[in-house]
Parts: sequence; C-alpha cells; structure tokens
Amino acid sequence: MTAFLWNLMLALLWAAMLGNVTPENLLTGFVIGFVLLALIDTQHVPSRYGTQAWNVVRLVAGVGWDVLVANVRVAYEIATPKLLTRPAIYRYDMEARTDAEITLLTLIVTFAPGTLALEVSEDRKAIYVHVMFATTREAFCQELRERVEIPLLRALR
Amino acid sequence: MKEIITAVLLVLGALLMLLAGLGLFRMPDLFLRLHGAAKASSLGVGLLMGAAALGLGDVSVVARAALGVTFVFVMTPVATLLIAQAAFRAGIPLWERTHQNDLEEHHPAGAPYEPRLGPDGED
Repeated sequence: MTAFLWNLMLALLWAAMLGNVTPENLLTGFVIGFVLLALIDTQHVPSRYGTQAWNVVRLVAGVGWDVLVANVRVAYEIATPKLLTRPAIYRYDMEARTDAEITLLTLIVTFAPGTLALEVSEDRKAIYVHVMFATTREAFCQELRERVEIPLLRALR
Repeated sequence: MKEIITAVLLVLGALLMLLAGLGLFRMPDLFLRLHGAAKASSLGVGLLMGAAALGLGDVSVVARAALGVTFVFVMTPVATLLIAQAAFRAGIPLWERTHQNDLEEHHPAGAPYEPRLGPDGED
C-alpha cells in the first residue's frame, strides 16, 4: 500500500519534471516508477511490490468476473418462470482477521455468484452467508476459500 | 462505433435494473430478493455510468463516473448486509424451502437480540 502511494508520487514527480501534467505523462511516470519500485531493494529484502501488485490485479479480475457471472445467474433466475433456487444459510469459518480483511471479504461475498453475507459472528471468526444455489456446507466453504478468501489474503498480506 | 457501444451499455444497464426490479416481485423471500437487488442494480448503475463516461468522453465526466461507480460498489454490500441483518434479527421468515440454516443455532430468528461484548469492549 505504501509502495503504491510512492508509485503515485513518483508519477506526479515525473509529470511535474516534464513541466506538463497530462494523463500521458502521468501514465509513463507511473510505469517507470512501478518498474523502479518493483526492482528496488528495500531493507535488504527483495521487494514484494511487483508480485503484490500482480496479486491485486488477479483479485480484481477474479471479482470482476464473479460480478458478471452473478448477474447472469440472478437475471436468468428472475427472467425464467421456473424457480431453480435452493437457498440455505451456511456458516463460513474465515481466516481473515483484521477489520479491512473482514470488510473486503463480506463485500466480495455479496457480489460473488449467488451468495450474500448475512452476519458476522461476535467473535469475528465466522460469517454467515445466504446461498442461492446450495449444495453442502463443505463444498460451499471449500469453493469460497479457494475462489475468494485465499486470493484476497494473498493480495492484502 | 462509440455511439453503438454507448447504446449497448445503456440498454444492458437499463435491462439489468428492470430485472432487479422484477426480482423483487418474483423471489419468494426477503433474502432472495436482496440477491437481485444487490447484484443487478449495482452492475446496472456501473453500466449506465460507463455509458455516460464513454458517450460524453470528458475527463471530468469520466472522473465523476468512476467515483460514482466506486461509491455504489462499496456502499451496496454494506447496505445489503445491514438490511439482511436487521431482517433476520426481526424474525422475517425464510422461504420454507430454505434447506439449511446455520445462523438459527447461533441466533434464533425472532428472538430478541442481545449484544454481547466484543474483545475491545464494544458491541
């Protein structure tokens, strides 16, 4: 996150040095800054900015795809006369711990295909999810973990 | 070409909003209705904003459209979660074909909700 702010600042600096803050200059500045920050050696450990940024891009692409799939499924369900829905409320034990992680997880769950976050348990260890096309709790939890939570935590941590 | 894409986005967005509205009538219980309302309406707004940004093509319009879409995509899940939570705590009945309810044992539907203290002393 800090690296990203540095990246933005480098982009601004680049554009300011060229004497012309245009979208093109900002973009080239951002790209150059990105390469520098990805290569740079911070505190003698290899920088994770490059892989981290890639994880964020993968997460955003995955969530974007989920939003589209979710809409097609819900639209189909609404537009066709037969109701195929088989709802259930499942408990999902999450690995997300911080406020930001839990908030983003529930946000993505609400946009993911056929799921809707209902409640976060008081001990903040589990969320309760309303599922539109239910199978079993085990299958649902495994899918949610692989499709959403692991990519999310990989992008955040 | 730009006009065609703008038109397609506008029609798709409007269609999604229509489906979201229809979903409110078609779905059997409140929680299933929320599915349609949360998903279809937010993507619908996104498409309409995208159409506006593309059609007008002005930097200030694009910036505002992007900001609007971001707000909608951040706020909708929060609002949906709060509505669902409130409904569950108030004891709104689930559709009778809901085949499993893990939340029931955690907090019986319709029972008065008593906040328990969290780790930092807040609810």
